[in-house]
Amino acid sequence: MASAGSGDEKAAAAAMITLISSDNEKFEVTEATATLSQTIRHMIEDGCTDGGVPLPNVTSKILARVIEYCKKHATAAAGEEGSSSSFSDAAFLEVDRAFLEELEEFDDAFLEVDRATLFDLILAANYLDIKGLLNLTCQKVADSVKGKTPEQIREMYNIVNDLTPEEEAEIRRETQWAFE
Amino acid sequence: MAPPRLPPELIRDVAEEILIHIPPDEPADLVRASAVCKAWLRIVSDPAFLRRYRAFRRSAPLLGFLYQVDFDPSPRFISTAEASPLPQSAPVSGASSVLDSRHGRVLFTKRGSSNFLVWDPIADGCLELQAPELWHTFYSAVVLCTVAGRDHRDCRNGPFLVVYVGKDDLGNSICAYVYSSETHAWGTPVSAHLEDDVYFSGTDRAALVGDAIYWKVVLGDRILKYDLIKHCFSMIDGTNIYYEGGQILMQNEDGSLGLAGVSNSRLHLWSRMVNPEGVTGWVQQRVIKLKKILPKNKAYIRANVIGFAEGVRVLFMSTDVGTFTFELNSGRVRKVSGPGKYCPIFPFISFCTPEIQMTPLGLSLQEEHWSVPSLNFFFRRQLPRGSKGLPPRS
Repeated sequence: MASAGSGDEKAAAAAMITLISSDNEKFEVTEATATLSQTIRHMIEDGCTDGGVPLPNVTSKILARVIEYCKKHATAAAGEEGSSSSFSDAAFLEVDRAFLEELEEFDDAFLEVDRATLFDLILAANYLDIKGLLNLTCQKVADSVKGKTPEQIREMYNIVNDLTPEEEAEIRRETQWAFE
Repeated sequence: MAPPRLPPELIRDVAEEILIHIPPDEPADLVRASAVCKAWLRIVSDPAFLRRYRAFRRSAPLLGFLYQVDFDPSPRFISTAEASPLPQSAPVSGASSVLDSRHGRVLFTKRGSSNFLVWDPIADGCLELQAPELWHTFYSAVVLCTVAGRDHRDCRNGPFLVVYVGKDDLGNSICAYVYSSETHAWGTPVSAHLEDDVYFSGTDRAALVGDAIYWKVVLGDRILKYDLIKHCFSMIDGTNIYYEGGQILMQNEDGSLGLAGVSNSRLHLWSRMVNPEGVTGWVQQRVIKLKKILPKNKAYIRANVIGFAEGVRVLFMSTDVGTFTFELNSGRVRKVSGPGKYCPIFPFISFCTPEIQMTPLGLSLQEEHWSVPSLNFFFRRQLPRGSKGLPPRS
């Protein structure tokens, strides 16, 4: 029995997926890491991952960051599953809290990137359907527009103003309180 | 050194995802975002997006609070957001005392009349209700949404109740009347006799917990309960502790009745629950030293707890240096007004989403015109059902 169990574990550990970036770089990741992406999870379920998963929308630089995020959070998910099946005594809660704090610190450090990289990460998280990463990166951008004028937001994120002067004037007139 | 790379263009899905993360406690941020470009304007003016935006949060945000100044007949509003569409004084013409604020609506008495006004500040719509037949010197009234569930994020346009509870001027009995916006009428009154050592003044804001409304009584450490399902009154015991810094009733996250009281420069938080012996009673959950949360200038010495905003779980504390909000979940403390008498206060909790409507001007609103991306549009604060809306702009 014991040997069969360890065999399963070996099989699980060996379940690796190859991700191929737009610039043809290959990344070997565990299934647990890869399946944080719903897009890849569906591909695995459909048996479409033999020979690697091409990701033509994601560069190697961004894919490396995305994998870094998924590795950390896949470990966190595994930790949570482990603790939920154990006794939730004070020691376990303490460990959980320390782990969550560490995860928060990781997320904060992860977001220390320039705006262009942040947007690339959002696009990758959206394409790969990684909910946690999409929430994290979008919250960072949403927080950064706090108290900013439309002009400042456009400048920050390279957005072309295609509103007519009449439209802009109308918005400002009707919601003057928001522009004072 | 090469200049920084410009961010890539955002597709609509991603822009929507960013806009949905803009926090709702500063409503101007989403409005200003709508003026960035046509794509963002289109997203923010989409009612489906606004529904998603509201559903994304656990609760509507705290936008400010209403209060009454002694000898001043006009209620006032203090915004907790940097920019607010709500006026600071005399928010509704003809409104006198503010009686309650809950689920995005505010209840006033009407000046020079015994009638009530129910105001939707975001739509700026007001409805006048005829008061129940009886008139009491001491009374309280509560406005609440009738939609089931505890989050009340999107119920502003739904049906509501007004619960009026008054104390008999001569004896010590109380009666309750319930108005339903669906039947446009007050129901059959329910009355009960209060014990002699209990005195109901109705001056404090009531707490709504589950299907019951709770009021502190002035004399006796008791709490008056009105059951909205069984339509009956009952009394429950208080914590049997004297709080020189006041006490307020509140709704706890687990759905139990809570109580916050200030004594000896400490904030005591209680929950009414079944204790290990199987008896329902008060269980102290937390004790917080006020000097740890309030500023260092000894503001905590004469601090009073004066209000609670349900959903966002924010306590209001008045001190010699001003009024502070204390978020129970995050521990964040903010000064929201200068010194003054603000008791009782009525927190206003609601989404204030722009409700932008892109409408072709000079055209009748036929379906095919709605589908054409229009260059002409106007903003309209959403009007209550049955309203004819704003006149067309010239």
